[in-house]
Amino acid sequence: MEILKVDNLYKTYGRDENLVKALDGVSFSVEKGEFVVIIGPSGSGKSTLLHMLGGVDTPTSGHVYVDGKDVYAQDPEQLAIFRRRQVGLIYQFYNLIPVLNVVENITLPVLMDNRQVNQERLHELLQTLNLTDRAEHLPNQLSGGQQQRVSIGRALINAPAIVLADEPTGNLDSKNGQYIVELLKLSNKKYHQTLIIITHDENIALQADRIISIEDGRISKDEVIRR
Amino acid sequence: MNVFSKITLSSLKKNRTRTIVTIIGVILSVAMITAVTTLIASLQSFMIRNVIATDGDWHVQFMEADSALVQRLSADNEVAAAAVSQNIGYAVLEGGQNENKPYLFVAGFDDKAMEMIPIRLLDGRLPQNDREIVINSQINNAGVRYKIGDTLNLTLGHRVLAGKRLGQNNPFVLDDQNGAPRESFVPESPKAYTIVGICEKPRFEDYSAPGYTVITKMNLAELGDADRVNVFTKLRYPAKVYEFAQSVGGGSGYTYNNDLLRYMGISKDETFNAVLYRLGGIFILLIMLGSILLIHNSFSISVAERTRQFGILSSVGATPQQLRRSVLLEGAWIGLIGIPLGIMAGIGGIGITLSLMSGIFASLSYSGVHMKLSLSLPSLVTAGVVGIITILISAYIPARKAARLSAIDAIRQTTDIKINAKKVKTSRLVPKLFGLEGTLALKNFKRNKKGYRSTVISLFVSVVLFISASAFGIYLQESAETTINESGYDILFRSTQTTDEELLLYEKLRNVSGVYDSGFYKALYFEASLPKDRLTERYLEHYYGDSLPAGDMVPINVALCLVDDGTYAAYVKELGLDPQKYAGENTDNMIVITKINKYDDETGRYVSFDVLQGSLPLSLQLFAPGEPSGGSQPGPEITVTYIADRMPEAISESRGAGFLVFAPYSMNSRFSETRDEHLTFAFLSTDPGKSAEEMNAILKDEGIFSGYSLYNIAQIQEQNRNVIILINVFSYGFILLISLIAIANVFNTVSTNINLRRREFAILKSVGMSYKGFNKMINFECVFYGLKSLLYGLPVAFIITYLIYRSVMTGADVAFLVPWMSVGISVFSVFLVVFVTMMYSVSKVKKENTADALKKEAL
Repeated sequence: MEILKVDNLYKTYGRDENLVKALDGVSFSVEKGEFVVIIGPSGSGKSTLLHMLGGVDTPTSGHVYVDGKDVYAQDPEQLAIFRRRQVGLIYQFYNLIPVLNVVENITLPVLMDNRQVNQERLHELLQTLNLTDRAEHLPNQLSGGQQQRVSIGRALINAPAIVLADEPTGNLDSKNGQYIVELLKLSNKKYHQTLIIITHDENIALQADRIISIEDGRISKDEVIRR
Repeated sequence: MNVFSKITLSSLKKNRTRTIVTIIGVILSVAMITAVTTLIASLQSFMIRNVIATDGDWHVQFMEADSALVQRLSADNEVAAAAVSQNIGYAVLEGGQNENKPYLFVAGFDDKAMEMIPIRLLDGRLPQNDREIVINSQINNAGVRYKIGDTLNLTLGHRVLAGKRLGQNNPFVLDDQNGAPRESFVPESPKAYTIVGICEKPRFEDYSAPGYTVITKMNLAELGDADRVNVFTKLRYPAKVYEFAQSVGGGSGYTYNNDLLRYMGISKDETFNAVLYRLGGIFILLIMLGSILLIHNSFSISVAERTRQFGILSSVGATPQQLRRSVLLEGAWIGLIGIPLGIMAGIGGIGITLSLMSGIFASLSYSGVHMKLSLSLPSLVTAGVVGIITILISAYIPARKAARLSAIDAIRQTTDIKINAKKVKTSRLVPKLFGLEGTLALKNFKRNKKGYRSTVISLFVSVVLFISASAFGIYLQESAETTINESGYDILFRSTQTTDEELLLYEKLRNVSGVYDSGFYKALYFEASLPKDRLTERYLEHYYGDSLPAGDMVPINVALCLVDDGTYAAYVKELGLDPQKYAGENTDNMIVITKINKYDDETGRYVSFDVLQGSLPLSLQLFAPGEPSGGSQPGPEITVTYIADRMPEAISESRGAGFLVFAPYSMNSRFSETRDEHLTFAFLSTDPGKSAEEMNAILKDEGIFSGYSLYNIAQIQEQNRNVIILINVFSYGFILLISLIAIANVFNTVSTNINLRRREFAILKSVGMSYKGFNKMINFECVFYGLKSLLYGLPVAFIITYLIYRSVMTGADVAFLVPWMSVGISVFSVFLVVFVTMMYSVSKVKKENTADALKKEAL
C-alpha cells in the first residue's frame, strides 16, 4: 500500500543569477512499512526533501501526498495538526525545548492536542528508550545520546504513519548511533511504521530496504536492496 | 498547567531582567494613562463642586409651589433633599440712586435652603430667625451703605402692573412719555430686620432684576395655604431629573440647574464633557502610540529569542494560533502584574502631584473650591482597558510575525538577519580614522540596523519631546512676561465712584502697612474732532480703511487723565518742563501722548505708530463719546502743548485708542461729571499681600462691598507664574515618564542584542582582540547609535520648536530662540543612556568563558 507519494517537487531559493535549485523535479513513492535511506553529498537537497515530507517547509511547486492526501493543500492549522499526528521528525541537533523535562518534551505533541497522555504507552516508550530514571530531567542535564532518544520518543508518541530522521546519529558516537538505529528499526517492525532516514553512515544505509541517492536536487539512483 | 503556559512562564523567568524591565515599561505607560483619566475625573469633580459652590446643590427647582406640593416633594422617595425659599415681598430701597433697581427683594430661606443654595458671606453670619437678614453687597452701587447691626425698617408689599403681580423677572420700567414708573407699589405690612451679614449678589438674581435680594430665615411650619414658595430638589438618581420634573409638573413650571447637570454629564448639552473627553482621548492615544512603539519592542525581542523554540514547537505540530496565543499569554502575564501596579502608581503620582500643587491651585481658585484627587470607577476601568489593549497590540504584532514563519526557517533562524557584502561596506577612510575596532563597529551598526532601530526611535522620541516641551515652557514664560501690566505698581484700586469724598478713602488706603508710595488719577473719556490733515495716514488707514467719513473732520478718542498733583509735578520735572507753565490748577498747557500701541488682529502683532502730524499747540473741543460732533452739549475745550513719550507714574491706561492727555487733578473742578469715568489709586508696597488684605478690611469697615476692583498686581503676576509652573510640572512629568519608558526600551534592546552576539564576541576574543580593543569597538558602536538618534532627533526638535514659537508668540515681538540648555541635556543623556546600558550588558557577557560561549548553540 502506498503511504507516501512525491510528485514533481521543486524548491528554489533566490532569483535570477542567485537562483538556487534545492529540489529540481523530485518524484517517488514509498510503501507502508518501508525503511528508506536517503543519501547524497552535503548541499544535494536531501534535508530540504525530508522537511518537505514532514510538512515543515513549503515547496515552490509540486505535491506531497500522505495517505492519499495532498499535504500542502491544507491550511496552516490543518498542516500543524498533520505534523502533530501523521509524522514524527527527528533532527541531528535534537531540538528539544530547554524549559521542559524529558516526559514533557516527549508528550509535547499530545499535550498540544489537549489530549490525555496514554500513560501505558509513555511508560513503554520510556522503557524502550531507556529513559525511565531520567523522566524528570531537563535537556541540559542529559547526554547527547539521551537527548536524541528523547527526540525519538517525541516523534513516536503519537504513533505516526511516517517517521523522518535527518542524520539522527550524525552527532553521536558509533555505539550510541547504533543504539538509535536499532530503536528506529524496532519501531519500524513493531508498529509497521514507514521510516525514512537521511544518513552519511554506510552501515545504516545497508540495513535499509531501499536507498535513494540525491545529487543536485535530483534523484540520481533509487535501488531496492531487499523486499 | 497547559504546556504553552509552562513554556511561556519559564522563558519569562529565565529572562528575569528583561521581564522586569518590560513590566516597568507597562507600569509607566499605564501610570500615565491612569494619570490622564484620573486628572479628567478630578477636573470633572472640581467643576461639579465649583458649580455647587456657586449655583447650589440641587437639580430641579419648582416655582410657585403650594404647601401641598412642598409636602409631596419632601415625602417623595426619589427626592434626596428638598429646600424651600419664599418670596416674602418687595420694599422700597430708601436713598437708592439706581433708577433701574429701586427695591429690596426679601427672600426667606428654610434650613435646607441655607445649606443647598450658596450664600457667599463677605462679612457677618447667616440669619437664624425671621427677624434677622443678610443684605446684598450690591446695594452699595445704589449709593446706600449699611453696616452689620443696623436695623432695617421695611414696609413690605408687592408690585403691580395692570392688575398683575410682578416678580424678579419683570424689570422696573419707566414710561417713555413722562418718565414716571409704569408699575405701582402696594404696601402691605411693616417689618423690622436686624442686619447680621453681608453677602455677594446671589447667582439667582439677574442683573435686570428690579430688587436687590436680601435673605432672611423662613419657617416652613408657618406656611399658609395661600403662600407660594420655590422648592429646590436634589434627586437620589440625578439621571432621572427630566422624567421626574415632567411627572411632578407643578403649578408654574420648573427650571433645571443646567450647569450642574452639564458637568455631571446628564444634560443633553455635552459640550464640556465632549471637549474634555476628546482632549483626554488625544492624550491617551498619543501615550498609547508611544507605549506600543516601545513595549512592542520588548515582545519582539522575546519573540526573536524564542523563534527557534517556536520553530521546534511548530515542527512537532503547534498550530499558528497556538503560537500566537503563547505570545499573547506572555502579554497577559506582564499585564497582570504591570497594569494593577501601573494604576496604583498613576493614582499615587497624580495624588502626590495635586497635593504638592495644592497651594498653587488654591491661588488660582476664586470660588474657594480646590482641585483635589478624585477617583472614579470608569476612569480606572478605562485606564485598565487601555493598558490591556496597549499590551495586546504590542504583543500581537510580533506574535503574528512569529506564527507566519515556516517551521524550518524558524529553527534555522534564517530570516532574522539578511546580510550582503554591499550593505556592510564601509568607506576606505574609516579604518584610517577609527582603526579596525571602529570599522568593525560601523559594520555591526550597519548590519544590525533593524535590531537597533527601536533604540534609535526611542532615543529620538525622547529627544524630540524633551526639547519641544522645554521650548514650550520657555515661550510660555516669555509671553507671560510681556503681557504683565506695565504700570509698575503693586496694587491698583479702581472705582466708578469719582466724587471728591472718594479721596478720603485714598488717604485711608495709602496708610496701610507696607505702602511706601502711591498716586491716583481720574480718567474721563471724550471725543474730539480734528481736520483730516492733522492725522497721520497710518492712523486713518488703520481705523477707517475704506470707510473714511466724508468731510474734513474726523473724530478721535481722547482719554483725559487728571493726575494727583504730586505725581504730576514729578512727571513735569521728569520731562524737563517748566513747572510754572505746566503744573498748577490754572495751567492751559496739557501734555499729550500721540503714539498708540495696539494689537493688530490681521497681522497678529503689536503695532506702534503716531496719530498726530503738524505742530503744537493744538486746541481740542471735547464732547461726550458717541455724540455727533458739535452736538447739543459740547464739553470743555483744552489745549495741548507738549508731546510726551511716556506716561506719568501710577497711570494704568491702554494706549490703543487715540490721544492720552494728562493734566493735574487740581483742575478737576473744570470738568463736570461725564458718563464714563473712573478713579484709580495706585500703590507701591513692600508686602502687597498684606497691604491688599488691610485695604479690603478698610473697605469692609466703610461698608463698601462693590462698585470697585482691587487688583493685587503682584498677586496676579504670581498667579501667572503659578500657571506656568503647573504647565511645566505636567509637561515635564509627561516627558520624564515617556523618557523612562524609552530608557527601559533602550536597555532591553541593547542588552538583548549584546547577549545575542556572545558568540561573535567570543570569536573576536579567540582570534586575539584585547579587552581594550573590545571596549573601543563597543564605544564606537555607542557613539554611532547616539549620533544617529541625534541626527534625526535634533532637526525635528528644532522644527517643532519653531512651530511652537510661531503659534505661542502671536502678538509679542520676541526673537526665535533654541533651548540650548535642553539640547545640551538631551545630547548628554542620550550618550549616557547608551553607554551605561552597553557597559552593563557587556560586563555580563565578559564574565563568560570564551570556549563556553563558542560552544553555545544560538538558542
